[in-house]
Amino acid sequence: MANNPSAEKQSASKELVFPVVVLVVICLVCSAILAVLNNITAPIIEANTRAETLAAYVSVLPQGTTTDELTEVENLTTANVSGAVKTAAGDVAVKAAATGYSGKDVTVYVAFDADGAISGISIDASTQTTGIGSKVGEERFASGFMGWNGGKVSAGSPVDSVSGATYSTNAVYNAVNAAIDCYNNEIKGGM
Amino acid sequence: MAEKPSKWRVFTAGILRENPVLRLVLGCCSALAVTTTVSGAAGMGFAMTFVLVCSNIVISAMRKIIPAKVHLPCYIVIIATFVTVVQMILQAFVPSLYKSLGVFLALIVVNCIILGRAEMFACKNTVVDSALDGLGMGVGYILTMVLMSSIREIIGNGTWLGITVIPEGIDRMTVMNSAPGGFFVFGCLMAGCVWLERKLNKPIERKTCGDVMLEQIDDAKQNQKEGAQQ
Amino acid sequence: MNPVATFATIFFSMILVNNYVLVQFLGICPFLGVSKKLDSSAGMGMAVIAVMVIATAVTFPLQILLLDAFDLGYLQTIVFILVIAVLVQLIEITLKKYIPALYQSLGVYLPLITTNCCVLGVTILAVQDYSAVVEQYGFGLAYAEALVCAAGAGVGFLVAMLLFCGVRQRVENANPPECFKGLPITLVSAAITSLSFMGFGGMVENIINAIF
Repeated sequence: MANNPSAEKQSASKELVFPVVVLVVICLVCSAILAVLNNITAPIIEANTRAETLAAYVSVLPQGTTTDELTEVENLTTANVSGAVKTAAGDVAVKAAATGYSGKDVTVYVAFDADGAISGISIDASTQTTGIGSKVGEERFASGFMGWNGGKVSAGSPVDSVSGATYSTNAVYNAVNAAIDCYNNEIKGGM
Repeated sequence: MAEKPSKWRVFTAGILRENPVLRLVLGCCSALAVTTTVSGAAGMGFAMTFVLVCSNIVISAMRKIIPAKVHLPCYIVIIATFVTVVQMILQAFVPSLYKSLGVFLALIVVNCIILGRAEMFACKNTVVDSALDGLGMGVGYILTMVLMSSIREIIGNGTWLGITVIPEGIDRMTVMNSAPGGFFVFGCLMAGCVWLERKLNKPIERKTCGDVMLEQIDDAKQNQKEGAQQ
Repeated sequence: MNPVATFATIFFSMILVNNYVLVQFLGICPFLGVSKKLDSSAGMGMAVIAVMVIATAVTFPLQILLLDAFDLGYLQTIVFILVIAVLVQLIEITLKKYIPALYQSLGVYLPLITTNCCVLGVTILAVQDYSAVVEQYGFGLAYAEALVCAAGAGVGFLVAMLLFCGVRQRVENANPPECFKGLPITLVSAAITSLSFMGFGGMVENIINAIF
């Protein structure tokens, strides 16, 4: 077969270009589909996350509180605090997080009654090592904070650290202290 | 193809004859990781089936368009798209399941079941056959996952689908919930499968994707040696 | 917390406490197959360490600076797997051209790593775990922590492969019941190896605590 060189070059470039074009087209089509779907699901996901956070606030606030009566406190500046709500009755719940074992966050929700004493707390330690660090998420440990109104918390006051899980326990202390700071400096005064 | 297998045979292949987990030993990572609870395992099974069926359909529909040179990246992009679709849908409508599956949902992309079926079946067969193959494989995967997670949840947690089946007074073997329990139950299930095969006089040779890898490594090393000698 | 202590905790807990293979079930395929031979296990482990660190080094900034910044987080899976595939190819070409000696020993393993779930796993988990650190302590520290995490995960993979290779050679000489021969007994011995790693839980943080 007498191939002329330009035709050969053309077919070679066609062989090289065609696969790339197909791949690019597939990528574009796929991204477009995902973008459309993302537009549909993103608001739902956001609503879910919001509902979840509100539910977590309600779980630490006194019984009978519903999500409707919460008002969000805005423009919080305390480090490690990511949000807070108050109820008409004067109860406040604060969400705070601090770095625990191997750089992963422990999140706490702390509720304060009108006098500033801790009236409810929930600790999410699911990021910590199962069976060790995760122990700080257990009711046993959390219930020790109830009623505390003596300023900053630390090991032994009011709760002893969980043995073997120093990092996770310290993360809880730090997060609770952030919540207390936030309550005392930013919320209590403004009420 | 010499003789076309019937549609029914294509569908049922995945359930017993070519059960992806116990016979083909594909996708062990997720089979070990998410089988601590029945609900998680079933959820993972359905997510996997959805991706498997969809990607099989699309890949077999496009089998004449996709150039051989870039077939792998094309398959990966198509599969990753469906995985992301599942991720979005689960995150929006079943957030608890999305949370419990964690990273393993995204890792469906590199699950050997899906890429394996794309390369072994979908790229050579019609759309309908590929869809049936994906569905059969998916059902086989779901059944195996549910079986394995039932054992682990009942022994490890005393519950099945969240319902308490072992009285509270009896201690749970929590090791079943953690990594060693996963390996152990998987090993025992596979031993049971081998025992059945021997009973039925139909033993097969199990070749994991890892074994295939080792063969490829050995071949490549051999080639290297020969190349060096020349 | 002292950053060196943080890095040390991350690194060693990735190897001992959160071992990718034995505790988190990532990369089981090569673990069950390739661990039959010692030299292949070592080579595979080294290649995985290299690819994990390089892949995380590329995907972490990509996610934080590009995807998150432009609200494209939903493209994560596609982008990451493509980046890994391209990276592996690039590493292979570069090694072949500039460091042929290294290519001789690792080149064989590289093509097998693209679809290895531990590489995609480490890039996704690093973003998941350390993107919160970016907000708190800035990008630099978060990036460093992610890289240490990736290196630890890789070394953990290598350790698991080498240990299990030893276990396996003993198992291969043993005489289990007929139906356990082959893969089933391998899985059961993997269960026991994994059980031994559970003993490290809590140890790393206490030792690091004692040192710093």
